[in-house]
Amino acid sequence: MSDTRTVLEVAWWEFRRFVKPRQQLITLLLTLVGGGVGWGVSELGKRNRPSAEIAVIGVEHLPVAASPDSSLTFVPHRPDEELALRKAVGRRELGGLLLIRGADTAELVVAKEPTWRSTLERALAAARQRAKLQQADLAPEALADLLAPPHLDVTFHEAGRGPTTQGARLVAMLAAVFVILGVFTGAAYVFASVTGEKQQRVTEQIVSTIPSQAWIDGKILGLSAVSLVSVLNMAAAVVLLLVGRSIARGGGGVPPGFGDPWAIVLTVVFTLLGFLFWLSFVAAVAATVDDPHTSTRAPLMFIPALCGGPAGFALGNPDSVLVRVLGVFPLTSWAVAPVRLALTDVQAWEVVLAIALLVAGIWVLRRMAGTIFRSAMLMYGKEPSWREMRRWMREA
Amino acid sequence: MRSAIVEARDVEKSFGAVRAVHGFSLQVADGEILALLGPNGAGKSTVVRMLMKVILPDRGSVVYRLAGAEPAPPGRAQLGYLPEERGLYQDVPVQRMLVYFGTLRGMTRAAASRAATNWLERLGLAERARDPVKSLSKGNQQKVQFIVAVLHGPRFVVLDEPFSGLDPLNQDLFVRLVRELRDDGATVLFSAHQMQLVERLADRLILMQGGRAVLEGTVPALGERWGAGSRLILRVADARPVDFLAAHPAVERIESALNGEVRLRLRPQAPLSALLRDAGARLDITSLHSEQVTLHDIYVETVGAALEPAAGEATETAVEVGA
Repeated sequence: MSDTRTVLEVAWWEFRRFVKPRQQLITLLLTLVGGGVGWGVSELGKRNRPSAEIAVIGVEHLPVAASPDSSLTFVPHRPDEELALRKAVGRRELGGLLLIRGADTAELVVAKEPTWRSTLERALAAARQRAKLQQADLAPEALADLLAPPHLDVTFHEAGRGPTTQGARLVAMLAAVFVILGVFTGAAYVFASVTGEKQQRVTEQIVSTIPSQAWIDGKILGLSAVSLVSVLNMAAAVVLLLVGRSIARGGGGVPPGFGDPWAIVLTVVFTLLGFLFWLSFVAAVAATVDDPHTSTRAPLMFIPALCGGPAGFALGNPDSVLVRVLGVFPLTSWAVAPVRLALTDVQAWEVVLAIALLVAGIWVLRRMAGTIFRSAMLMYGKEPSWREMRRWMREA
Repeated sequence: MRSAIVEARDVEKSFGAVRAVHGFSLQVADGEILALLGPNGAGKSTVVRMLMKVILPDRGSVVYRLAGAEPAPPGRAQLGYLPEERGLYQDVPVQRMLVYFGTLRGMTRAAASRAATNWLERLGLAERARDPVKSLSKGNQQKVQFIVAVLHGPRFVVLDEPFSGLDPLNQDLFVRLVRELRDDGATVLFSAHQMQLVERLADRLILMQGGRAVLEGTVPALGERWGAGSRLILRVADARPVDFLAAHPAVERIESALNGEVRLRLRPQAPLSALLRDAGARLDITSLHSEQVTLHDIYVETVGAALEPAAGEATETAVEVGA
């Protein structure tokens, strides 16, 4: 029996152990229901934004006005009504009382710290700006011209390229979230699988039967497939939610930004390679764990999270030198490259180099993991020291 | 002796400062049942693990000749192994797990499934095939573990402590199964410390102590080499000296003489009539009976001597003084 067939047998075994169709269906439904409820609550929140009525005394000093989309309403009052209005604020009948004493000074009377304070401050700033400009005695046309933003035409060098759309940003963000989530999911499965086998004492049976490298390779392959199924399941739920939202808003179904099939293929490639890379690492760590509840090795499981973090930088500035380097470096490329692919032009050599380095990293890591796995899986009652692990690798 | 299909040559293994096995050699003949016997910590499981390549010896070598006269690494389908550390996937249905282990040993899924069904029927577990392993009793889990070792019809089967934790009925069942394996052409090596089972089952045994082989041979041959024969136990009514018995030609030695009971180890084929006449003339014998020397005796005496040579010497001295 070839090692390849053994690897595939182990992979299929691990896949069947952890992928249960009913569970996947329940996860899909729960994600849909959870996402649907979240979206509904957010829409309701937008439609029923709490509004506040603010009584204003001294509007003649500063003609404050709410913007059309603001939740604030300004109602002018006479100065002799101040006392009654203060009492109304105390009784929560009014959101607040604004006492404008001049263009530069105002007092706000409220029952508690208002959530709309920044909106009010913006309205006051705009009113003050207008008042100051009027004091400069400018003609209305000149004033309008002064306040108007400059017009900017954006022309793209390549025909067919458009601005970075909201959809593209969404895809980039989802790619980062899913690949990191997938690595975490896979890491959890690998940890459960390896420590479970140690605790169920099946390791000696298997080590005496097949090469330990074939065992770990099959395990990583099978559990990477498990992670991929979990991620695809969640991705399917998210796409369904986005399509549903788009249709509900009168759109055409699939939101923009899902268009570049090449970027999608490369994203899947980076995702899978990321799984293989980190699951090899986690398998080696898990093999050294004697008791998952008391092991001091558990913090090592956060290393993949640290290495996924730069995907956040890439969302903000996909073309910076640092992000470009991280997009090629094998510890981070699996998370950064998919974001860059969704947001910006990635040179072909960058993609090729990143994949080559990641593949080389996987090869080295799986060999190291296989060596540690071979010896550590047979250790019970204690965890191997770092020195022992270094010795195993030297001997290998 | 038939040709050796497995051979360990002068193997050694240490774990840190502990020397688990040293200078150990064995040959397993084709078609035999060989037992590794010894107390806890004698090094049996370490030898077994080295034979199964689970661990590698620090020195020496293990050679397989399963495919012909020339040494060659064993194919995974040729070996079957029941480890001392029992372990099964607890949350998986029995049949599915057996098929998995069968495929790892090189079987197709269909063949593994057929073999698993046959073995489960043979061991009375057919109705539990779809149940998760964890729902089985300990004894039934041990049967499943045994099936894992033999499902693929291996040529060389290694069973590490196969009888531990089994009730007498299941011990008998396992004895029968191992004999059937041998009758079907397999060679079996097993480790144990239950002497009567080894005596019933093994064609040949190696007694281990302190990581070394201290005795080797077939059970009858060992009995003979050890002095074989039998033991005579006399009950005497008075406290007269019995040392004259030690000089009798039929007596190999006085094992003990305490509390009115004298235990004599007899020489093989020794004529008893003269001994009984002489003893009867000088002692007031109230009862007597004889028993065969068993493997248990050989085990206790060999291991005891190896473990506590000083104590052994003291016991013999005490007998001599008493006599």
